[in-house]
Amino acid sequence: MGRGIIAEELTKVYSSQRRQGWFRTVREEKRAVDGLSLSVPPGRVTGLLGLNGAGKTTTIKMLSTLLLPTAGRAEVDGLDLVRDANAIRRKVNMIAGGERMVYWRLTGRENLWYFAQLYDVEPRGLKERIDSLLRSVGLADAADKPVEQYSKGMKQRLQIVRGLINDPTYIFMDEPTLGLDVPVARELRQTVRRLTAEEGKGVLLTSHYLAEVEELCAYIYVVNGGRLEAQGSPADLKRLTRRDRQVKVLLAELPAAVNTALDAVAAESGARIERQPVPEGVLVTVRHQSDLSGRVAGAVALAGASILKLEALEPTLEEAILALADVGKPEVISRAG
Amino acid sequence: MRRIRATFVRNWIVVRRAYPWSFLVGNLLSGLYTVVVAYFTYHVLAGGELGSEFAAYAGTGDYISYVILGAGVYLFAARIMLGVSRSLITERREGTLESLLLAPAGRLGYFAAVTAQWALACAGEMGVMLLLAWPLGLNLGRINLSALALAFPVTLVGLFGMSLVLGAVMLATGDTYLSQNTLFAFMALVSGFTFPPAYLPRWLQWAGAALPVTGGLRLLREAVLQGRPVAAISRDLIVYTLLGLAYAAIGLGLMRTAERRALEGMV
Repeated sequence: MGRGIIAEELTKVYSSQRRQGWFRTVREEKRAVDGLSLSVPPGRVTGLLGLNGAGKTTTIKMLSTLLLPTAGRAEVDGLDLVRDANAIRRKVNMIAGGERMVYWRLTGRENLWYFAQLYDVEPRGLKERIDSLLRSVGLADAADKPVEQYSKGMKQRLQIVRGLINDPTYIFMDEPTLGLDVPVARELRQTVRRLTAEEGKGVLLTSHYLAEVEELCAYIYVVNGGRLEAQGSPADLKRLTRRDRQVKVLLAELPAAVNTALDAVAAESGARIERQPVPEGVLVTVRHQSDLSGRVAGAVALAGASILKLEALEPTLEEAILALADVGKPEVISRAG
Repeated sequence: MRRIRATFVRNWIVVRRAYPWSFLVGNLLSGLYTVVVAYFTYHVLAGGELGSEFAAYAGTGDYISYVILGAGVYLFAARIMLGVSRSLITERREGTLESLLLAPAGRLGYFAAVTAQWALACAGEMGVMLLLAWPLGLNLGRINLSALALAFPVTLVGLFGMSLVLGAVMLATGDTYLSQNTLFAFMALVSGFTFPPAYLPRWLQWAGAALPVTGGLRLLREAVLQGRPVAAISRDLIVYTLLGLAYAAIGLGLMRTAERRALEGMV
């Protein structure tokens, strides 16, 4: 296998024992990840999406060597996930949402110093590196305060630079902007873009903020119940769900000629049309899988009406993910290979 | 070595910032109470008389020195074991376990550093406690410093091993209170801190001998109170070093399983 993180048929089964009465216990198994194959190449943000309990965090913990897979295999730049775990730990790091993963009784600077020692970061230039990292997240002035005196956002920002202290080749980001202020979240997105585009790092990102995923991820894996449901670019996933695009046309009035022209477009293409009176006139919504904005605008113009406003709306990634996660409605899903 | 030093420094800072002076005073008082109760029991209730078998069992007829040293070692042992065994479960509770385990650093170095930090802090506490108890009758006139210099690290190895086993149990079960207090109560009964284990039924004596701290305490008393030379205790030094290392090996093995259980429980 070559560069990047490559997982094949990765599976994780959790075993537990449930007590039934005083003396009897029942063994239970939960398949958190079920035969998941994915790849995270360097220089790209790869998304891992799914609803709660889909297996995202378990996948990240396996790929970061925190958990042993029950079955399947994975490699990081050709290093085996189980056999070469220690070598892999030098190449990866994790940034999770929330305020954990740093020592609250140490200062920000002491935290970064400690983790640098654990990762055996080159001592020469370490002080400058720590200063630079703290500056990059706006913590230079608070560098020598104990973390317990930090605000939630400051702790989270410290956690972000802790994840960069070893200059990892691959970064696992598990809900990294959870609870962050809008400007800080935006800065983090810019940092992620810079890390991948300029420094060639590979990022595996999970986030509930789908706009963030759509903005950052070039490729997305959608998991549900531990299984891979679909994969592709954000545009691919939207297409997979077969959700309709919408053309919304605002007209001052709806003469019979325009009505007839719109019906003709609907009859030819199979689109659905809704007409809704609004204070400004009439709002016509045309729904179809392909973009009919040109045909609709042409038909209205030819019928002699003037358009006050025209909008072409794509299905959102959120709609796509919800549809993909909705295994009860297989008709909306076209699974990717 | 760099990681061990860093963990030592980190733990030193955290402990210094986290624990109030009242905690130290509480520990010292706890040790002193044990000594004071033993002192009054001996002088007021027993009228300064001991059964003839005490000297044979304890290797000394100086009951007060026996108890003061025992109480000091108990304070030292319990504090080290608390600090070391709770280290990973504390990391788990404070949310740093994952970031720690993600780093390419071995667990042996981590625990060695934590043990060294607690040993230094607790040796200071034990020193203060022995100093305060001295006027009650601690006699160090026969101390053999060479034997003490060897007995102390052997005791430390034993405490290190026991801490790892206890720590693994704590991490795997998520319990600290029940496991630590059960062990400490058992140690207080069978290890000979305040009376010679030979007074106990045979099976309890064997159970006590299986704990490295029992042998460590005996070696320390032999060096400090009886002034026995190194040659006279060399066999026990080797035996209890090996016992401590065996506990450490078992503890590290169990710790791996406990870490996995802890991480799986955190997903």
